[in-house]
Amino acid sequence: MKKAGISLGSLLFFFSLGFTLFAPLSNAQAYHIAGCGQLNESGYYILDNDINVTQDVCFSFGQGISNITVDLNGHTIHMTKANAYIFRGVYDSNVIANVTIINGTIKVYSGHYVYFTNKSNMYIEDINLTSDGTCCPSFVVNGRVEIHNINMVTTSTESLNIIVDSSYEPFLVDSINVYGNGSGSIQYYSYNYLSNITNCNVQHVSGSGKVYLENVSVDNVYFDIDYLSFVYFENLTVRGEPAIYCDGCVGDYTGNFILVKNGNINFQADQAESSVFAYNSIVNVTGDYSTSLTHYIGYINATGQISNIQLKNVTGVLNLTINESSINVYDLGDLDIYQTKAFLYLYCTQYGITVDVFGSELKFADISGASGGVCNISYNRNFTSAYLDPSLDTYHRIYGITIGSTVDIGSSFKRYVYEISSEKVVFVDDFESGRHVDYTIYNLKPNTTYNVYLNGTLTYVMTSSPDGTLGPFNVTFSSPVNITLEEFTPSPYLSITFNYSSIDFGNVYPYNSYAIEGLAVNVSTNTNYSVYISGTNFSAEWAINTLNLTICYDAYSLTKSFSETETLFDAFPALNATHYHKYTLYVPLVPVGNYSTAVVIDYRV
Amino acid sequence: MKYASLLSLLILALGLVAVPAYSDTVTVSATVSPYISVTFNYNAVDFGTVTVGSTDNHPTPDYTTGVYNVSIDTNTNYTVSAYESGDFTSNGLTLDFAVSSNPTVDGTFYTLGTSSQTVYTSSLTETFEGTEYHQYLLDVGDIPTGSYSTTVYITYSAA
Repeated sequence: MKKAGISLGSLLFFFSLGFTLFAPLSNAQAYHIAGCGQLNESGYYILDNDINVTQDVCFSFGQGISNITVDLNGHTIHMTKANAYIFRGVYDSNVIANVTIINGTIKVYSGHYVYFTNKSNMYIEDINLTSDGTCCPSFVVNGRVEIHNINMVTTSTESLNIIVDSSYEPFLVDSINVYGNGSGSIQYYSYNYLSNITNCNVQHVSGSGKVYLENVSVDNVYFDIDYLSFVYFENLTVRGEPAIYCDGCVGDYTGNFILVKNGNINFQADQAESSVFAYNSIVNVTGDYSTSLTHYIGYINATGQISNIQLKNVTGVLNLTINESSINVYDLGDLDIYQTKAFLYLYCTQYGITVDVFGSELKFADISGASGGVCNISYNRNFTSAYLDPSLDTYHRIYGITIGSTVDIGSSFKRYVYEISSEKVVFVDDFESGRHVDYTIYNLKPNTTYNVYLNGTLTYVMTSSPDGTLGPFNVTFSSPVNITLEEFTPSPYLSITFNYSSIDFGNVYPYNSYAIEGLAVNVSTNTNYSVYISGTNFSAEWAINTLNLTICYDAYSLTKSFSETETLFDAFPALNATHYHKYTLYVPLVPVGNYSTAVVIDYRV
Repeated sequence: MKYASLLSLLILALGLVAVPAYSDTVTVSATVSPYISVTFNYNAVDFGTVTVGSTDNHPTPDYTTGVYNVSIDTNTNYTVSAYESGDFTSNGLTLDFAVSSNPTVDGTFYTLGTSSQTVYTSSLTETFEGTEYHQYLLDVGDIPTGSYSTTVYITYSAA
């Protein structure tokens, strides 16, 4: 048996069982320990029982000691002394490398900190961090660390803090599970290096608890943020879905909220009210939001501004507020709302707000803004959703609100309609009673006449410009107005003017052909048409196919035997043009005499 | 025509209930002139050897075979006139000529002199495209033996 180490001033002794307990360490010497003490040799230490730590330092290390693993073996280290160290070098600044603590529970005295101090390569795995008090125990980890499979558990309302001060080294946190009922906070500080936090589960961090994540990349992290929680992300990239989940939150703006800066997050708040204030971020929102709740998307910085928001892939019903009173909203970029029912607070400044709506009912709770503010609302017709009345191309409501007195939305309200493929555009708007709104509709068919119906009444007939812009036209509101633009399709129109009424071939001789051409007929039409000819021959007694008629239009011409009664040709394109008729006469051997006939030419739609 | 324009306006006013159709009636006229085309299908008649003092000699081959015919296309009645150059008459030979629609049925024979005379007038009631047959007979006076020939001129004219 090899003596494992020296116990100084300690009641604890280290024992070695002389055999290897863990396969990965099969070549290492294992030491059994019964309590705290100084670890002066590298190796694998196994705790054989629960211990209460009353001193300032539980495990101390000799200078230069490295490669130590402490296996709690399912036991508990109860830190009963305030602000004690689990690990600490004999000399505070000792550099101790590759220290691992695994497989047990560390219970922290209420209100105290427990320090895991190491300068490099701290490895913590399969540890339950818990407390026995009522307030705010904290685990402080310094240095280069990896933390795997940590459960932070509280049984009371207290919070748990794990403070990872990685000021000088990157650290890795994997599979942390935090269960709290109190005001616990999780604070990660990683000032200079990007850290990776993966597969974590943060639940029931409630009260005034906080989660700080700075300069981190998060994979598949489940944040279940309770009432009055606070989550702060900066430079955050979240992968996996849902990334942030708010369960049972019942607060309002003063309640739980999430701050994201430079983030790209997936956000879901199925049952709850939550607030996401994002700055320079893309927020993907999923879930079925209660219409009675309000979700705040935005970021308040020191100057009280919201900017550069991209709200995408909203597949649920979303109550969206992108503006708060006394907060300026500008430069939202592309605010894309997909297939949802959005309840929007909109504040329009001179920088303009562009909202792209993809198959959504957009319902405005408020529109206000600075003088000259511009609100651009664009609709993409290719998207449909359960929230969009299928009979409507867009559904746009501004219910019973008073538009800010300092902004004339009416003069600058623009509506874009994408992907026009049909002849009808329908949407519903609802402004406060008495408001006059001048509408300009974009992206319509160019040079096309539209009937504009207001609540079913034909009110305007207007023609779009070559770029597909129509308007402006004025709508006065007293209740919701169904605005329907229907492409004007007039009744078939065909006007024919014959510029000749008779032709005379004069003297003709049998077995000879004669022609009279250049007989003009003016055609004005908006539809295709056919031409029929009919008539009698020169002589009912003698003639056989004596007269042919040719009608020419450009290079297109057809000749039909005059004796037939049938379609001469079909489907001329709509045109305003001149036809030229040409008659050719072939004289068979017929008796001498004067001949005449009546040729009936029908132009039919 | 003004009629068409007026009609189009009316239909436009009626809107959806009317199916527009626009037509006009054009009077086309022509005057067909008299026309006759005759093609002679023979150019010589030979009576062979005849006897002095004989009459009504038939040519060889005989006209009853129909070999002396003309093709006619016409939309009008016409007359046929004929004469001979005088070579027969001055030498004591007399040539008789007839026009018939049937080679085996003799027409009315006329003795050809040196002046043109009408030998046939058609009585068509419609256009005619067909064949007419010419018939020849020769009377020989008391003249010296020898070979004699003459030229016969036949003219078809619209009546």
